[in-house]
Amino acid sequence: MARDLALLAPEIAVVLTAVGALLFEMLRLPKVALPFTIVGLLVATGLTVPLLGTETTAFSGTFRIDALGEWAKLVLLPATILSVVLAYPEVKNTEREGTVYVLFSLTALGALVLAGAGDVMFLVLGVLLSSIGSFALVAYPADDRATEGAMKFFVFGSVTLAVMVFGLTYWFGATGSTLLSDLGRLGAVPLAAAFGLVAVLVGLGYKASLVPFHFWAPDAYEGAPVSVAAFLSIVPKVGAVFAIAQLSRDLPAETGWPLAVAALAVLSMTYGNLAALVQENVVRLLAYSSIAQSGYFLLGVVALGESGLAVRSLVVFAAAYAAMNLGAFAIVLLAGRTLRDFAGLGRSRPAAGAAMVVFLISLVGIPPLGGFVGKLLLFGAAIDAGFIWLAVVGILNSVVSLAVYLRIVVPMYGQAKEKPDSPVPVAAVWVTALTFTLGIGLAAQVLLGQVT
Amino acid sequence: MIVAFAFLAGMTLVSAMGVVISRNVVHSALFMSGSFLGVAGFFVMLNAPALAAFQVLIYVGAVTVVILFGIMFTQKPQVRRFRTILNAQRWAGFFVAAGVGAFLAFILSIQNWGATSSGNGTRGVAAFARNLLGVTQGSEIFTLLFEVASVLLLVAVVAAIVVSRRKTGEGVDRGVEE
Repeated sequence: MARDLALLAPEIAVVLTAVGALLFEMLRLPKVALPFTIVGLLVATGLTVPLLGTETTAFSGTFRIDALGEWAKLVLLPATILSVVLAYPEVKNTEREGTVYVLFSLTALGALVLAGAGDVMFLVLGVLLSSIGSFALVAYPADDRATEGAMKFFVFGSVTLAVMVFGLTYWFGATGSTLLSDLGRLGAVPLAAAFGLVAVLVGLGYKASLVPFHFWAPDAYEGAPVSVAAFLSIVPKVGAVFAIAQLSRDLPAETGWPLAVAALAVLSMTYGNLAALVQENVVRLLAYSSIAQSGYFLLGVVALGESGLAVRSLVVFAAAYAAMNLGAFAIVLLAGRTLRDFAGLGRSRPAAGAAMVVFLISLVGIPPLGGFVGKLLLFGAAIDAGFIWLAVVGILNSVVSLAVYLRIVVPMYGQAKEKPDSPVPVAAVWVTALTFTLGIGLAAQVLLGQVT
Repeated sequence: MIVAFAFLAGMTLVSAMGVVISRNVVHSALFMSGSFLGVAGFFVMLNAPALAAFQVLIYVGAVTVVILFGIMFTQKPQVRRFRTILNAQRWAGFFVAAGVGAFLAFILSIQNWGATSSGNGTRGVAAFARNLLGVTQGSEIFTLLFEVASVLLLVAVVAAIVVSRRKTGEGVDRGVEE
């Protein structure tokens, strides 16, 4: 037991951070809750470092301490810290400000539970834990748009989660065990296995906002504060993708999961990019672009077990995606939510404009940025696993996505308008994100050596 | 056995229909407790008395009462009628539900379940409890799950407070002096 608890030190640190911040909020000291949350999450990130390279399970195999889970912590906890910093200018001096930081920490914990799940019950709890906090975060502004977005998110989430739980009962009936490592027994009951797979993909696909379970995403992102949209597009999404990866490693290939996941990847990439082409609202545009990006993630999932690159590609792309997407949302917070607000940004604020261009071309996947390295590895893993057609679809989609992101870049260098304000926390976030986006591209070799 | 099963299945299904088609939210909540009771009966038939007890205590008792509280606290007192809406999509909804049910039943009946083993739970209450709390060596399957579930409840409470908070100076708490 003591050994198991030591392995969970980062998760325990996250819970303690959230509870501590909640106490400071109770004492009406949100100015203390904010730095406490940031320091606590930094400590949790630090506690993950000594675990790197461990490949084991805790609590009778229900929770996995492996490369996916460890790197999820190293990527998602810093992303949560940056989201919290980004949220400060949006929520300061509102009633119950501190609870926002608490919900960020607890929702991130849900994503970590998903990424390390070794048992189907953790999939359910992880989806719930990362959903319930998000509903409240989306609804935080309490105006009509936020309430509408949160309501759609809530109803959609409840239905998909119910479908997932029901499908899991079929798997439990077939294997007699909730452990993912026992899923191999599903080979004997193909129909029940297939139905369970579909149901689980519905539940996790909703969290990862894969097409066709993405309907909530644009509305929820649009209604939510920009920092919450940035957080939702990264932390729960990466957690859910890693959970699909944990699951896929143990599923017997006869259930047809590689094809099902590949089909979801094609749908998500294509629909996400095409829908993003016609958006006028930058938050909605980034929402659809993040739907497309989760499609790229699935290329790495499909290759699991077939290619040694698969886990590395997932981790590197997750790190790059977290940095570039957070950066893009930070600039949206600075400039404004519509394409018209971006007119002349590159002239009135040259540094922020240049950073936005870097984030966007990194999202397309142009060298030498982080997004390029991640996508290169994903395509490499898919080709390695024999899914050449999937890699081709991915590359074609990257070309389409260039057009999507150019729609933001072109007006930025038009006629300059008035200079938007640049609060210090927002600037700090995009500078950090820029450092990571450039750094991951340059340090790709070092990072590749680290992930086993 | 067949008679008992037919009775329980009928009770569960009729109550579930009642939840959906009742025009009164309070009646829906009461019908739901009937449906939960039917499920508890199934647990007894399946030789899982501990689960049946949990089902009655938690679902029939606590959850239904909390839902009734929720309905009564959130409705404005001057609005006396709690109506649910039955709209034009009811037949479409009915056929979708029937189709999904038939499909699931089809999978259950056509699949050969002979090769599968029985569940990994124990049926005796004492052994079940030791397993659940991870006392027995090698049975810590539920230990961490319990902890995560309690964090989940904490999140739900915090989220409920955030959603229902009032902005300063907006509305008055009934029965509470400002």
